[in-house]
Amino acid sequence: MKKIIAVCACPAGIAHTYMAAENLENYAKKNGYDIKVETNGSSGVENRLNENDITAADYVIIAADTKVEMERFKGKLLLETSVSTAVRKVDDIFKKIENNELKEY
Amino acid sequence: MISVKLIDEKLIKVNIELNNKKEVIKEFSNLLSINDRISNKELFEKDVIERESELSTSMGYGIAIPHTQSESVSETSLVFLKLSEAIDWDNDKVQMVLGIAVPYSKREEKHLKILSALARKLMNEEFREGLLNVTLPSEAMQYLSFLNLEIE
Repeated sequence: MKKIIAVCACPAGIAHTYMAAENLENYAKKNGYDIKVETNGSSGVENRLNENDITAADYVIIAADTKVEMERFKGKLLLETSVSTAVRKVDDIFKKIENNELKEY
Repeated sequence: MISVKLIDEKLIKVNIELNNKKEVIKEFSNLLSINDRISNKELFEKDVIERESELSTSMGYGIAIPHTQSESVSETSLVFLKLSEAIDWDNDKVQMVLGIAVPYSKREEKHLKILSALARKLMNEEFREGLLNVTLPSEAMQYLSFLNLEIE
């Protein structure tokens, strides 16, 4: 099973972040991916990605409208998008994964 | 200690006729004001609009979640407005509005957790459909009261 890790973050961090996380998790599970989503919201960082998660990941999705610690993803296949894309058009994100459109970071 | 619930029936309006985003924000602020959950309507509205201008809170799915963490807010509150007809909200059609007000001074972990639980719940189609079909505030409470339980 391919493993995805993701980070969701938005400026206020009250709602979009969690909607995006929920959507990514649901879509991934339905379509046979393993996924772990870190949320950078107003209650801080939850479900933080650790080194093992990052090493094991096949793909990285950054769905954020604010700054995210990026250095840790060096060398990974990565897609940067907005948090609202993860809320509204989650299938577009997965299409890019399936079409191998992710670039090495 | 008196515990104020996040939402109650007085903070819910079902099939209310509002014509645009501005009227929705006014109603959001009115409901909070008459229920003593905000201290300054003008400041509250200004903060909501300012937040809205950073990034629209229309989420797709016919839902908008205007929210602010503002000095004008005295009690963390959730307002639910189901409009009689969908309105334009930054080029989206919106019929359900879940307005969230959080006091500026106390960023209460618990409340924020609850709001994130709501955000996640809104991604569930059955939940959205159910909420869209309510005809009474008491029915809407059946969908939203789980948020109160977690506060205690």
